[in-house]
Amino acid sequence: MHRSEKRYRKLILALALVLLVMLPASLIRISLAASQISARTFTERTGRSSVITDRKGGVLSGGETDFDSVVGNLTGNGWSADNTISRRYAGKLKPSGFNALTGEAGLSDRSWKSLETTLLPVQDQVTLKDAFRGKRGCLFSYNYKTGEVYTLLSLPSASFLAAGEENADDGRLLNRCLDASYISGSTMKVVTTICALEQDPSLAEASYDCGGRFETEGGMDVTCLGDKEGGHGTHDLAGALGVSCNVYFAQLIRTLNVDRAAQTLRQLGFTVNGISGSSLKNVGELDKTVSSTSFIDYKAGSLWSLIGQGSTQVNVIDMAMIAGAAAGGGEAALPCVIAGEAKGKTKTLYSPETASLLSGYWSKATEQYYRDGGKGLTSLIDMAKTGTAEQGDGTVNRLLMGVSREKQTAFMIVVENWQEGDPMPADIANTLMPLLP
Amino acid sequence: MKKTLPRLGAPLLTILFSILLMTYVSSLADPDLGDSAFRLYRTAMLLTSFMALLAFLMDMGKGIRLQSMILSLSVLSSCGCTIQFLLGNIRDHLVYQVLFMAAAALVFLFLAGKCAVSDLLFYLAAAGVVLLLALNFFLGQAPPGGFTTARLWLFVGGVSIQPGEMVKILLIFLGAASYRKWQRCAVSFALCLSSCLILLKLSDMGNAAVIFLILVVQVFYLLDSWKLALLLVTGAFTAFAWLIRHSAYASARLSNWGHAMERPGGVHQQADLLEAILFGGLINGVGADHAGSLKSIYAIDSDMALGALLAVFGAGILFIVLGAYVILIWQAAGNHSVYPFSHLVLVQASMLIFAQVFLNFGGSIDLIPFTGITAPLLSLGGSSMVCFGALTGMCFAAECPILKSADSLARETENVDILSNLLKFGSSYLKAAAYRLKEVICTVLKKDTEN
Repeated sequence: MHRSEKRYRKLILALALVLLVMLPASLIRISLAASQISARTFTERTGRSSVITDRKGGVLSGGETDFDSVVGNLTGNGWSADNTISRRYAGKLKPSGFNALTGEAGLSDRSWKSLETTLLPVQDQVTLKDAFRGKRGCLFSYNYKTGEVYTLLSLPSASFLAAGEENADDGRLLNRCLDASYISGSTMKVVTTICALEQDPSLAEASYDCGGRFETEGGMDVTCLGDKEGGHGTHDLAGALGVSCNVYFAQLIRTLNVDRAAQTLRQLGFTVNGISGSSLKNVGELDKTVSSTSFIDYKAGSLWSLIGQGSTQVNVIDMAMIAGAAAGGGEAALPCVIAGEAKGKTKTLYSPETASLLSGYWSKATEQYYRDGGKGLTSLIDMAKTGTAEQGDGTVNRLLMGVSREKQTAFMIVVENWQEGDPMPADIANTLMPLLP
Repeated sequence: MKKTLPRLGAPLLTILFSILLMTYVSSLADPDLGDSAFRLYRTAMLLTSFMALLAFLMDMGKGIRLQSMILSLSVLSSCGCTIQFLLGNIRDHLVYQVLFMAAAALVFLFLAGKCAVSDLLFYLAAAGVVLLLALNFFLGQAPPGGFTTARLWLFVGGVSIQPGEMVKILLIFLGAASYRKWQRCAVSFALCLSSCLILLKLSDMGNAAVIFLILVVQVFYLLDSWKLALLLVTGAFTAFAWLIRHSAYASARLSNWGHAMERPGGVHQQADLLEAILFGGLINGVGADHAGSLKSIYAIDSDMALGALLAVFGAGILFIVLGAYVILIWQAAGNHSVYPFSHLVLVQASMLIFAQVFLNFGGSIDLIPFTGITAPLLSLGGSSMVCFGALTGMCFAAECPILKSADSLARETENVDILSNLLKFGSSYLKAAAYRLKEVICTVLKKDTEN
């Protein structure tokens, strides 16, 4: 017993020391935990928070009123959504000067921060929201030179929730610009044009005849909206873009090299046939979905994909960047929501030659076909392409992508489940233009 | 006087701790709480302190071990009352404190003077372990509320008890009674190991870990061969680790370790506590006024009691509480008794206290995996308080030199009756106190005349 006793006493001395060592160890553990406190916890515990502001310093979140739902559920305060500024930029929203020793008492008024976004002021966002007249949809606009995002509007938004409807599963807590992808409709024709121009600029010089219907292998034909009237007649590329002629594009697609086109599509950010390319997966720290399409052969399925139906799903940010690059010499700035984060980083989407040719054809088409009538675009918009996407359930989404050189802005608008009498995306674009800086 | 002075060190230190604690607490707690429970609590504290002082005055001739243990216990008891008062549990806690004292007194009187245990008593205790484990295994339930799936509780007529707590104490008793008795050793080891496995199966990781450590101590002492003990312990430890890995509940707890702030799987009690500690600040804590805000944290008054003290009073309180525990552990382990039973009771008790404090505090702040175990004398819990009372009684009986005088040992007191023990202890206690008082007065008077 004697030897054991001695040894045990040493052991217990060691254990007692362990308890004493726990003291500094616990202080270190607690200090470590201090760095893991989320910005939201600071708000919950202290009743105060750092503010998120618009580009003019107006408080979007953290002030007396929260404008989360106005700017597209983006600031994220009070909701469980994860892809929000308050979650993804939590580190920048944490108050400074907090330490484990002094705790809450160590925080002063100066500890709280202000995170400036590039978003348009709240009243402008409300104007744009009203332009949707209660329809669901989204509006993305950004400066293709600097990358500053002006709007990431998404409807419906959280404030539309009725009492007891907190779990409504229709994506109203998501931001549709970031988290959704849409069937592209005819806006895809701009992408197809780029594929043709990248492969061989002479392909775009051809004119094709449209009789309203183009027969494909396998029996499922490509039809045009002008089918009933006997087709659009003979068109060049500008004309085909202007009237959005499916038959013209079906014939143009048949001249494309499948591999070369897939390569261009991937460079544009599409996932093609399940293989992703140089896709943009985020806007700053925020996640975004990736556009996808398929192009395997010259059968109806592939033709329809590049015309804008079928398996093509686009993210509005990708499309706005593709549009912006037409005015930017084939390069578009990477979009960002936080001021100062842009730093002029750009992505080369296609060659300057393609950009020059595309903007020539596209501007011409816009001038000829988009100024009057139902489209009636303001002259501030230099290039625009509408799209009508037929959903599986028989409803129709209206889309519009476009560029304004004067405002250095590229945009994409989607109005979901469009019906007669609802606002056209062009009306919303016209509302947007004067609001841009 | 020269000889007495060093012996006064530990109790003086504990008294200093007590005074520091009282000053600290009274500076933070609102003096106008006006609750009758608080007055009751203060009275109880005064009584405890008085008892501690009396014990100190006794100077039982063998040193200051018992006195400093009592003083440490009283410091911890007052800390426990403080935190439970602030968390709104003082009425229950005072009842448990009384039960603690009653259990300690009963066990002390029953065991005082025993330096060996009869076969009958040994196997009765062993049967008790088997019975408790069986009851827990077949009838154990998780508490209502769905916070945990661990089936640790027995609900008997509106009262809930945790058999796992009692098993620990009985196992310590069995281990202590097995020295150089190989048959008993085998029974004791087997029961320790099976308790460990059964409690693990019932997801009572805390008690399983404590029993495992008790088993380690038993193997170390009873086999008296550190090589063999090391071999056995390594084997058992590997098996234990393997079992934990293959228990879904245990491995979930293990995988959460170090990630408490991320609230893994919706478990947020540690994160809530850590945030409370941080927002209060380590210097000041959230303060007594805001202690109520901690009440919403699950098990804050039991499995996280040490963390709660830290959150309310800041890091300063840790020096006092951990200091008191260290004194308790050190004094228990430093026993020089020639009687293996007494010695083994104390060394196992020291391991139990260490394990529970380590697991409770480390777990609550995510320093080690969270196991869910009470901190002796701080946590709210009837079973744990009564069982720790019983253990305290066992330790006091092992420590108390009064009843180990030559004549009582000569009788080989296997069956000392409670009444005679009580009378004997009472009279010796008073006699010793009076003698000590007289000695102190004489010394003072002598000094006066010298001056």
